[in-house]
Parts: sequence; structure tokens; C-alpha cells
Amino acid sequence: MFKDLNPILHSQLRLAVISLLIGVKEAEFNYIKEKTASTAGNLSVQLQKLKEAGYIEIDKSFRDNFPLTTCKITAGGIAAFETYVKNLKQYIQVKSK
Amino acid sequence: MEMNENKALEIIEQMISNAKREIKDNGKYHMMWGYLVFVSALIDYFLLITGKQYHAYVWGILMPLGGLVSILMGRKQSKNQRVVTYVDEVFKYVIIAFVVSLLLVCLIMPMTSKHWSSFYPVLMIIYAFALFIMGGILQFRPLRMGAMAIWTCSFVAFFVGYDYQLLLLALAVLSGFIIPGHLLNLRARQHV
Repeated sequence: MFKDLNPILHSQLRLAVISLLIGVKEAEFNYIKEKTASTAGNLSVQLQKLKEAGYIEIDKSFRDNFPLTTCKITAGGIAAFETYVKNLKQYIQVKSK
Repeated sequence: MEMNENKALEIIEQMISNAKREIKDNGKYHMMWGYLVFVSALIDYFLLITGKQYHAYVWGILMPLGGLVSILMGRKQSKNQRVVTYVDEVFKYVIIAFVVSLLLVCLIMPMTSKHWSSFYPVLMIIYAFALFIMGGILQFRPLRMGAMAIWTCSFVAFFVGYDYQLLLLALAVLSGFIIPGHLLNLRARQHV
């Protein structure tokens, strides 16, 4: 049904993460968790998948002795998102005809 | 969970609008600097007209104090900042350009005494320049209107003496910093 759509992005949480990151320069793990209403475990797994696909960069550091994970979309992630939206539009157009 | 095309669109729309909402400024810096400059200008003016020799010393006390408070506020803010938007990034560069220009004018112009009478008018031009851009970035009309009021004050200030320049400066920060700062604060509270 959705053969043309990128399977990496065609998942609720991964799509939500990429859609969120496309509008900002970078975001902390807890911010993404809150905005996507996800659990820490699930989000970690999905972020790792996006990282492996080269769509996001994950930076791990410390702030006030607490671990801090920051995520940022890459150029590849932006291109993949744009293609995904383009394909989605085409799919909707075909369906509405 | 199965995701259809409508759900995909809904997610994209919702997340993009979430990120959009992060564009905020509560006007704290505008208010703080507005009141500091307003009070300094009026104290300077009253000391000047009452014949006090060291009338301008108030600037040397209140401005570094404002700088210190700004640094502390900035540190606290960056500690609590969980997301950096592109607007934050542009804003950062506008502030850096503004502070560098302001410091250069404040350090160089008083040393070259022949340009002393243009000091406050030039200062106001820099204020207005930065505020107008900020008003554009934040899509906040009162800031742009304030910048225009400051440009007007600056224009007039080129043709009057030091005492009236101080009053014009007070009027400029009232219209460009204090009033828009309170309005920004009100907008931020309404959008919480």
C-alpha cells in the first residue's frame, strides 16, 4: 500500500521525531520525549534507527553532572523527509482521483 | 500500529506546529535594559540641570550592573533551554552584532571628544537597528514601531544639546524597550 514511502520514516514515532527536528536546530532527548508523548525506551530505539540511517546526529554530553542527549537533523534527514512528504502528497492525489 | 496517509500528515502537521510554538521571548531583557537606561538618563539629566559635576557617573554604575544581570539571566536561560530553534540562532547573531556595535560606540566615542554630541543619537540608531530586526524575527509590531520611534528621537537628538538628548533617550527607551517589553511579556504569558 505504501510501497513508495520510506520505511524508516513511515513509522509514527520516527516520523514525529523527524517532523519535530525539521523545525528546530537541535532538541534535547526529554523535549522530544515530551512532544512526541513517547516512552524513553522506545524513543531511544527509534532515535538509534534514525541515526543509523544517517538522518539525525546524536550528541551525548553532560550538563550539571547529568547526562544530556541532544539530537539534530542532518542534510540526509532533511532530503529524506522532503522525499517522504512529496511521495505522501502523490499518494493522496492518486487516492482522491 | 498501522499508519495511514492521514495519520502521517497529522503527525507532520502537529510536530511542526509544536516546534513553531517554541518561538518566544518574554521581553525580560527589553524591560530590564529599558528601565535601567530610562532611570540612568533621568538621573543624569537631573544631576546635570542641578549643576552636579559628576552627573554622567550613573552610567558607569548602572550599565555594568545591567551587563552582569544579563549574563546571569542568560546562563539561567541556557540551562533551562531544551530546544534551540533557528529563530534562537538568528537572534543570537543579532544580539552579538548589537552588543559589539554598542560597546565600540561606548568605548570609542567618549574618547574622541569632538564627536561627543553625536554619542546618544548614534547609540539610539544602533538600538533602533537591532529592535527593528528583532521585531521582524518575532513578528511583533510594537517592537518595529518602537524602533521607528527611536529613529525619530535619534534624528531630533542630533540637533539639540546634551540635556535634551538625555530626555529624548529616556523617551526612546520607553517607546522602544519598556512598552514593547511589557507587551512581549503579556504575549508570552497568554501563550503559555
